Amino acid sequence: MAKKEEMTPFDRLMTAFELKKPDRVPVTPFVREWAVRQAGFKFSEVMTNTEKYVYSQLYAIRKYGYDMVLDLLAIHAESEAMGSILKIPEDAAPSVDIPAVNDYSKDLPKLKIPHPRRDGRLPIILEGIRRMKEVLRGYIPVMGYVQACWRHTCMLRGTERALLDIKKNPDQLKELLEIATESLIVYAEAVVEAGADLIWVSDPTSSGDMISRKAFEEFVFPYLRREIRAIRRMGAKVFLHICGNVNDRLDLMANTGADAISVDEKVDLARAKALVGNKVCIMGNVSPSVTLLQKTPKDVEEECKIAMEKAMAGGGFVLASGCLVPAAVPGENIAAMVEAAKKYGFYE
Amino acid sequence: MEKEEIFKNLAKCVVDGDEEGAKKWAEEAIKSNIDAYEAIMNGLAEGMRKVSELYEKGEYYVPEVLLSASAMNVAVEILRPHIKIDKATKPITVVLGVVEGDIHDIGKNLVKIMLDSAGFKVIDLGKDVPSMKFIEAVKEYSAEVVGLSALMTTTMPGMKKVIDLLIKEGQRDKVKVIIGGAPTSWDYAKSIGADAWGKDASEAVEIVRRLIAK
Repeated sequence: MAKKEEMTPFDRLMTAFELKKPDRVPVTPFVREWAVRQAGFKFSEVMTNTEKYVYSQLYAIRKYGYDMVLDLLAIHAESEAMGSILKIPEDAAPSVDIPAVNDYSKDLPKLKIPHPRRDGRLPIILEGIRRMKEVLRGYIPVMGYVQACWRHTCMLRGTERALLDIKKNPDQLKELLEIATESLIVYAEAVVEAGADLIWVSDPTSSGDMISRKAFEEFVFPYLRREIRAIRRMGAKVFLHICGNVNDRLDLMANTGADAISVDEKVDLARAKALVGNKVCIMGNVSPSVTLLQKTPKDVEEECKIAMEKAMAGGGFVLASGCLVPAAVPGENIAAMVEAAKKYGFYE
Repeated sequence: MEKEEIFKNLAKCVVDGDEEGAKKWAEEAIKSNIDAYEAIMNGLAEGMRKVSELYEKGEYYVPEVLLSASAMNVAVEILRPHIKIDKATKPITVVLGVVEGDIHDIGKNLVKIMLDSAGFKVIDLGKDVPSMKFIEAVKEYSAEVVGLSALMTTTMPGMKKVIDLLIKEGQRDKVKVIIGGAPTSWDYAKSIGADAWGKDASEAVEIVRRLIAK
């Protein structure tokens, strides 16, 4: 009953992003630390070693056969390059320890737009993208990561302070957002130039679990739209990921100009598809922390099947994890996710 | 000025996140010789209870809660020195922290705000807290409740580590353990042997009260 695959992973994903039907549903578990562990490394090792990071991505995709490789994403590299100081645990993703902007009047004028080929860890990431592209040559798509401007702002200011600034210092917050957006467009250009076929723009602090739709409209949307539209004009596809409850802002996510929106299990895929499926490709939403981490391959298959039943009709759907896959997820669960796409995801 | 009138205004200033108003009404309470503890509990805490309700209903979001908390704190600072200390009753003590490796502390801070305002004594260990620190704090403060928070699927196992250590150190029977944070669930709480799970900060006060009453 296994059908034959007729497209390369690259064409498959791009076809879905263009709201059309590929041979089957593309499957993209978001694997960063998971791939690192599969390859036998610790996270802190790959933070400074392009070779090891690239190896982990290539090793895992060769073994499990999903449809996209990822750059060394979501390590706040853009914010680090602008002066935020990271804390780097031995085997987990880093976090911002000391944000760059403490006192607006003192620190804002000091902020500089980083040079992507020179500052912080940015050159390491760009080199990783370049190497993956050289190996994969357009057969498997290479995803490059660029923070959303609100996310970047939170990582420059400290999330809690940025949230309070919405109420207390809206003007200065907007000034910071302005700088953040500009800097991300500069960085994105380098990411695209290095060979990224598509860009993941991610914004976990702008969901309805954090801020109101009204605040999203004022402090996130205009900047995000500018950022995403700029990246699309560089020739890359863009998918916007916001995890958490975004049910009241799916329309705004779609209106940013992104090719695809990626959501987690707090969003019903059928509802997302009905609401904005004619405008953007939908990506989602296998639960990383419950299903992939704690359940069996059979449960993973079932959840993937339901996701596809809800949103694959007519094309424009990618089977993805709701967020990053934890390192401890058993390999057979990722295999089950890929298998499910091959079993239930073919189009007629 | 009528006592009830002042309480109502204090509560309103907290709900509105009005720092200046909170300062004004706290000073008014002192001037009118109103019991500071009562002003906190019947005014400010009442306001925070309302905030918690609005947050749960989806009318308030994190920025609004943070602003309310800062208004409350302004008033608490003014009222606190005037509280008559009653040595006979020891408040329920809650040790609170984000488990090791996790630095996401907004949720934990919201819980602290809610518990503080409801009159519990909160020992806040902060974020990225080594497991043993929780046990040391439970012993040092003779705490009745431990609250554990994690926001990442990758750091969640740290919660189980704390509970296992409580058992090993002979403290498990002395405390109730509550967990919370986006990737956690009641199922997960049960699986690691916690006593309760909070969906979000708005449930914190009620859960602690329920556990203590048991």
